[in-house]
Amino acid sequence: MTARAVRFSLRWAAMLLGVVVLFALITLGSAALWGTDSRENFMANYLIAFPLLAEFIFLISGASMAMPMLPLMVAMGCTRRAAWAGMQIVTWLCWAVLLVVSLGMFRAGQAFGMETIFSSGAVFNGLFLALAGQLALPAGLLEGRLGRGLVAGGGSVLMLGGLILGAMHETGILPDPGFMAAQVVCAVAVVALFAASHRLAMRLAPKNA
Amino acid sequence: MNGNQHPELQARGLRLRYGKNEVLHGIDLTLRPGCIYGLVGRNGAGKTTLLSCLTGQLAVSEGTVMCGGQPVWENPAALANLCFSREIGTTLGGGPNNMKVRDYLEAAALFLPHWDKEYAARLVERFGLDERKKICKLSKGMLSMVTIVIALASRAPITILDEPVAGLDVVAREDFYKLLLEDYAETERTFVISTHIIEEAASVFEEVILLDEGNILEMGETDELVGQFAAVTGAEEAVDAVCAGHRVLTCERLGRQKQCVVRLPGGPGALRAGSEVYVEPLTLQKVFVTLCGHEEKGGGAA
Repeated sequence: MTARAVRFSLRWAAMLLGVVVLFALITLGSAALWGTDSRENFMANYLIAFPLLAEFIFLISGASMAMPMLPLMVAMGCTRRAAWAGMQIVTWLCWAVLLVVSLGMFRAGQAFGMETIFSSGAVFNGLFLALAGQLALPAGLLEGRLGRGLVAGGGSVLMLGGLILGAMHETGILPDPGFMAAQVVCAVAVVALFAASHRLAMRLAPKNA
Repeated sequence: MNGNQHPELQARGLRLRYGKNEVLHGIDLTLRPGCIYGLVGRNGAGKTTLLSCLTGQLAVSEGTVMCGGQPVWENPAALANLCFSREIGTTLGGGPNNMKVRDYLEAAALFLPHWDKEYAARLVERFGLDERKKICKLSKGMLSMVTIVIALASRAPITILDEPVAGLDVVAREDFYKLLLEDYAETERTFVISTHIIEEAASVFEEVILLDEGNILEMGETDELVGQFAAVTGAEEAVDAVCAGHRVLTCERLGRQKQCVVRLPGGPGALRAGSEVYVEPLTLQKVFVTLCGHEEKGGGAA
């Protein structure tokens, strides 16, 4: 049954990842064709900001997926355990793909000679991606205003947090071990949200899905 | 999954509480295989709640729900025998439900192990459903049709439909009952149908469950239950005389005439009625209104 939940969730995840990968290719292509000076090529800005955008897309789309998907699966007779496990598998798969794409974009930016604020924070940024994905699931399960508020508010905090912390580390304001501590906090938050989404999913009572 | 193609669905001591508010009170219920059940009750009686508990959509506060001898809650083997088809929401997560009809049918095909894809396609064509259309763009009638397609094509041994004909016109409702009976004749699976349109569906129900304020008021074969009730109409003195000694449920005055509804476990033959009164059987709808609709419950002449 988990395999069926994965199959069902993958269809939606594939659309999300397809958009992200396409966007990455367009960005790289534009840099190759028109250069990396952001004054002349607006798309070059996305080479710098790609991981940030990936978080945002992942969060919003992840929440959009979770909101209807889990209740629908349970309404169709899937167990909550299997539905949640399926969505977790797909979420982490998406995270892995987005991390690889983000790393690729970061390397491409370096190859183009660009300075990026995430030059040493790609892995750290991956934690934010994981956090974004884990935030999406419980937010989606809460539904309604609370769920949407968590997605919007949480997403903004994540984006700003990643940006600010990365910049602070890059400029030396936040060297290790402070920067490491920030990553540990992020990892703990991922685990906490993982537990929260499991708890919420096990209590799910689809009304009309 | 056990090899029982016609499992029994059973609830024992089923209670559901929301905080301190108990909405289902110790329900005992056995749905035998291969029967069409009608579940009727007033708005807020707990029909959808009961069905949700029976199908593992809601966790019960107390009691057990078993299907084919196995607990239903979070049990793939038991859930494989069940299909709960209910109203599809036009909003999801606070926004419009942008999923398409096709998405719902694909989900059904994936999660309902007995799904009949060809039958589903025939039903979609018969109902004239556009699979590319978004759920939020469907009319109430079309939404009902989607739930009916899911229920019938599920081929689940126990198929439960919650208000399947809400929003359907009379022609579509007749079509549904015809399809239901054809399916039943072919598969002999168990159907449970909750509805407010009692009179139309009464001829389809082999057994009926009357739910009132979280309690099962009556449950039994439809004909046998309905046969216990009779309306006695005539002059007041004559009606009172005929009804004396029997359980009178309601009485109302119609000008100079009086009409009382009596319950006779042995049937209307127990009434010693002459030509001064008119005794007529009740319809299921009238029985339901009598039992659930009047203010004073528990019998006694008004």
